[in-house]
Amino acid sequence: METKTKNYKYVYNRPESLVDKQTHYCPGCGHGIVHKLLAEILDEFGVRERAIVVAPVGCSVLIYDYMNIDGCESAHGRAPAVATGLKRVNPDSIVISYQGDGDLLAIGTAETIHAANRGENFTTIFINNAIYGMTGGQMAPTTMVGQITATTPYGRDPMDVGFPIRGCELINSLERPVFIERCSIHDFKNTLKTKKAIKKGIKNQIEGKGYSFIEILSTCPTNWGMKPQAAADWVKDAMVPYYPLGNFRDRQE
Amino acid sequence: MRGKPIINIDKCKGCELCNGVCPVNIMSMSKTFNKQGVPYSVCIDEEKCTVCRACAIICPDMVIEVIKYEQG
Repeated sequence: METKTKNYKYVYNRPESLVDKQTHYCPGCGHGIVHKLLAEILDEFGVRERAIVVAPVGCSVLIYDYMNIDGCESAHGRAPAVATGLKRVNPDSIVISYQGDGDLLAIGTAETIHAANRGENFTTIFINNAIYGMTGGQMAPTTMVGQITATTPYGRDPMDVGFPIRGCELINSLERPVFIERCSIHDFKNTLKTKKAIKKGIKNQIEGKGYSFIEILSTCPTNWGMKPQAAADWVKDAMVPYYPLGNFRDRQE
Repeated sequence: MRGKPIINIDKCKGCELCNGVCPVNIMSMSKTFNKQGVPYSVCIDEEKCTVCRACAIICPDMVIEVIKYEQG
């Protein structure tokens, strides 16, 4: 091995918070990237021992198997309610609710809105991939107009099932949340921005500021019926124009 | 030669995302298959690697680690 003859150092290797384990995610799935970013941030703040992740129902239901932190599984859509309880009982812990679009904006809309409205001091990571991944590609509230899914074989018809819901704008109408940002992981640059946003969300929680909401546009190559790179390009071309990226609120007080 | 990616080929699921993000286009897919039965990611020209870590950061399965050679 050539590496043994020269001096070298690792500039990128596995974060301590991530377990060395093969995930069950499909090739090119965005969940793997976001797990990694979250693990890096927990390591950077040194809060791994205090962190609790609330897993939703969805593809990321086994997140506590892949991350070396405490975890709690909630009923479908009730992750914000469970996170509220965990945070109020253990104020020193770092509580992260990791939710998909079916969990956060379909069955769990009420819990999400009320947890945000109460300004609970935890961080929500919302993975928006415009489809129900785990159940086999049915239409989600965030499915794009005209997008073909298992339950909309002729494309989503807004006159029948309405337009896609913009999560950040919905939360932005409330008074208590302190940090709201939408980002994407379709390329390298935006992945770095996503990391910055998650870092801000966790920092707000450590400082006790209040509710942080980070929406991440992600890919689902299997259910979209695309190759991973084509799926990443589709996020850029189809999703970003409807879900504008950027910061909606960053309250400093 | 500044550094290079170290690829754990048996973990690679063959999604090809690393090929798309590499700024100097030195990531490619193998002609052979790994244990999972998919073509895996390979670095075709380590001399050109700029140690930007783009491939490692975009990889969803933690396949790629990056090392940097120290001078002297």
